[in-house]
Amino acid sequence: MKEIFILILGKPFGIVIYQLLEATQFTIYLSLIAFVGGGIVGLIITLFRIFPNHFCQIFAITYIWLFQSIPLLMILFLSGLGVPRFFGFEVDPWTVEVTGECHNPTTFDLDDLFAFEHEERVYHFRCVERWAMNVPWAGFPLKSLLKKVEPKNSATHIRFVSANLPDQMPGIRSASYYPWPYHEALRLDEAMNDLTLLVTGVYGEPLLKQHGAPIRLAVPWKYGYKSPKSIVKIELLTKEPSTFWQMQPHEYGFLSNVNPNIPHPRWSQAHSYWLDTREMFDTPLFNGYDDYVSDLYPNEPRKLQSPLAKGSIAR
Amino acid sequence: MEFRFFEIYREETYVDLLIQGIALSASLTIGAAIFGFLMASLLAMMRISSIKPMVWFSASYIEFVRNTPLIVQLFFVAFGLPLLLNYQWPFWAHALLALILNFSAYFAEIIRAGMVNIQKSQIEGANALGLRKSIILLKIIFPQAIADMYPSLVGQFIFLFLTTGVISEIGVEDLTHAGIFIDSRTFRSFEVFITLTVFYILLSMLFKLFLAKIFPILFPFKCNS
Repeated sequence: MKEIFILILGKPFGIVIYQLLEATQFTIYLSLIAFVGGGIVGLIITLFRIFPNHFCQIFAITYIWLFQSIPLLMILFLSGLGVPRFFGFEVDPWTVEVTGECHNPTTFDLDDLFAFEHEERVYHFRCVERWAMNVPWAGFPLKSLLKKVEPKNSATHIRFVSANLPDQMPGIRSASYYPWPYHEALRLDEAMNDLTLLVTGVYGEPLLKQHGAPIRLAVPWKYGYKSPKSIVKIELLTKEPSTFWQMQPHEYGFLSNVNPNIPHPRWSQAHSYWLDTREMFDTPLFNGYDDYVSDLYPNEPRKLQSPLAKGSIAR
Repeated sequence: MEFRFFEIYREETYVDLLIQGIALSASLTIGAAIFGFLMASLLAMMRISSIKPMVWFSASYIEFVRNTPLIVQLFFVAFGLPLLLNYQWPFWAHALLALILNFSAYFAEIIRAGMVNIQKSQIEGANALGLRKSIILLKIIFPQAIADMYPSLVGQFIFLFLTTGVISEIGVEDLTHAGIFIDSRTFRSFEVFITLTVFYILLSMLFKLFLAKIFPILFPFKCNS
């Protein structure tokens, strides 16, 4: 559609007209919704106004008087800011706190995070449960954020803590037996690798809540759960912390690299399948990033290991 | 949740800003209403006249203003016209001009409706007395039209007053601007906008009260019963 406008009207003008028309759609939708919704509420208020009950009439009169005396702008601000607070939603701005073993502990707000130079990268994504897909993330290397906070020499590991908002995240409520908040960690050399990406967008749009808005990690050579979503805190540590899934019985350990040679305690990792077509393929070592990250793991097994015995420590 | 209204009134600058904002909002609205009413009367008379180009001009002006948002008109008056005609005014003057142009179209439509609804017998009587056409218009039709349409005019005036908050968009330091400024310093959004809402309600009640009080002074012929 956009191309047609550019073809007919030329480069800047065609885009301007197209975008104006695109925006007009929203004005029309909004007006339609307001017209229908306002009509329904208006009908109810009218019925209240003529209903032979003193209380109903006073309610209707007060309602009409109130909303006729308040500027639309004020109704907009109050409903946008106040009503969510009444119902217990957070309207405080999202911040990411970086603390621990660093010279410049900083709290970044979203403007700071979006100010980093962004790039789009298509990464393989492999879930520990064997499905795989390719995802066009947009973000910036974790390295550039760490450079700003200047990790101390004593820092060896980095820990990420996700938001813990049970009111807004029903999964946290229903699975309360897990050690919330979600927390993950990397070695500092893994964190400083060029591939490790802090993600703010996907498919050319800002992240949605289900993708880990407003900011998440993407570590493409590890299983998906090593890429925590909705990060609120980043800590630099002097020793290896325990992580969310590592703490569970019968799961992978700290490294959790994608490796066909290390079976999960309950299933083989030799094969993966594309999420959309269910087509099977051999799982590549490090999810295909062998050339980029194999230096980090000189001891990574390249021959098939026997499934993990109960009680032994996973890799 | 807790309310912390003291965050607003403990800073002297915020209180000053709010008071100045109220003064500017009220005076711009009153100014726009007076000049807008004069312009609207002219437009309404043009619209019911028998000279076709005047009718066309008036009708298209009224329709144009009533069918575009105030904020678009404001931007056109504040940023478009100065570029086209090469002049430089303070922001409040741009805002006043935009409000006058906006108010006049809405008032004109109401005044026209009032004039059209004057009973034929009134005009016939005036003709029988030998009054000139201009006298009939100014002394017979116009005052009665305004008196009949007074409640509509007051309602429209209050409605337009409530929309004047958008002039803060071009940097006029009106009541809304003061609120946004204080909000951005204190982050007490809910408290700030509740305060603003109360001020707007109080101002519109004051306007309504004043306009109701001066009705018998303006139109004694309507109150002799």
